[in-house]
Amino acid sequence: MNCTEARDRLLEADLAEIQGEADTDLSLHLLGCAACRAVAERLSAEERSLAAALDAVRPRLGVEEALTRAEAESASRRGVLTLPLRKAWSLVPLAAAAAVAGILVTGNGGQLPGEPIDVAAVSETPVPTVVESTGQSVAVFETENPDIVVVWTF
Amino acid sequence: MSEIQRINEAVTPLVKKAQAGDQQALSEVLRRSYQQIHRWAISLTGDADDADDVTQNVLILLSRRIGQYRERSRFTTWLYRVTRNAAGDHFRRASRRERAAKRSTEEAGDASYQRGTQLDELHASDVADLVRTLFVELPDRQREVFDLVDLQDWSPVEVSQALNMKPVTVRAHLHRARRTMRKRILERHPELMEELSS
Repeated sequence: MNCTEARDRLLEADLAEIQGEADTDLSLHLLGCAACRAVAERLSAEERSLAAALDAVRPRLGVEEALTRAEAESASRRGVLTLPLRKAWSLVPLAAAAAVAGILVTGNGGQLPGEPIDVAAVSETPVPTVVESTGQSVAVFETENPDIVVVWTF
Repeated sequence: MSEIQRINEAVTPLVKKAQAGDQQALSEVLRRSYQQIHRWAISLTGDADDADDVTQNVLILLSRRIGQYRERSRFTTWLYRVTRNAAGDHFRRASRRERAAKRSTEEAGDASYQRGTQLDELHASDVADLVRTLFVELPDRQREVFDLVDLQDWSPVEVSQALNMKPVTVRAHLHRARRTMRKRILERHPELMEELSS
């Protein structure tokens, strides 16, 4: 390997090769050529400086303060149903739909959809509670009747 | 031993405890990973303020999702992916322009504003040209691969796992990045090349 080839190779070589630690033609050339070795040492030194400089950049917050903030933020994000806010909002129309579903399942005295509903009975029917959200497309509701669970897909 | 190895050795037994609900172990995992997450975030965002935001989000994600780590890879490999995704989310949420506007407003409005960040200081240091080359001239993938392999001692195989990329593609990005960075170094030291050309 001549110096021209070595210097082109240095542009892509692994650091171990550049530092003469690998059993390759380039490493052998560097052992015997002071000029190319100087180039290799410069490349290696500059990359080490870059790494050290980036490693030295510290976060603005100390770790304890960051942990305290993360804990507070995490608790506030847990919020309703442990869903992110935008998903919690998506449950507003869902809850309304669930109320209707709950009425149909538990509050209409066994009437079929389409049959007249006793308005007084409906107004006293509690809204079922969302007990588990399994994602954006399925939610599970408990009703007053422990034997009835509503699985809602949307 | 590299920083990554140190973190993995220290954190691996704690991760299992944290997954089992041990809050103290979880705090220790976060504590020991904090600086490394920030170091990755610096490289992924190229901005100290963004890196702080991403780091904070990763701490939150980690405290909520540590149970999702399945030991298919080293903990730090998984954590890097979490950080990378958080950086992607961060950029999707706010455009660069919006962030710049926010920053200039803060600078103008707050007399005690002291965000002459360390990264800005780096830009004014001896390695300024390399930092600029790293963050401005290198495409994202090249920067990421170069940073992980050459500056943080990851093996190309591990990088291929973390980035879900074929090892040969990692090598290709790495070689292109090295060529750019090293040419830039040699441009600043023409004396080193004179002998060859004479």
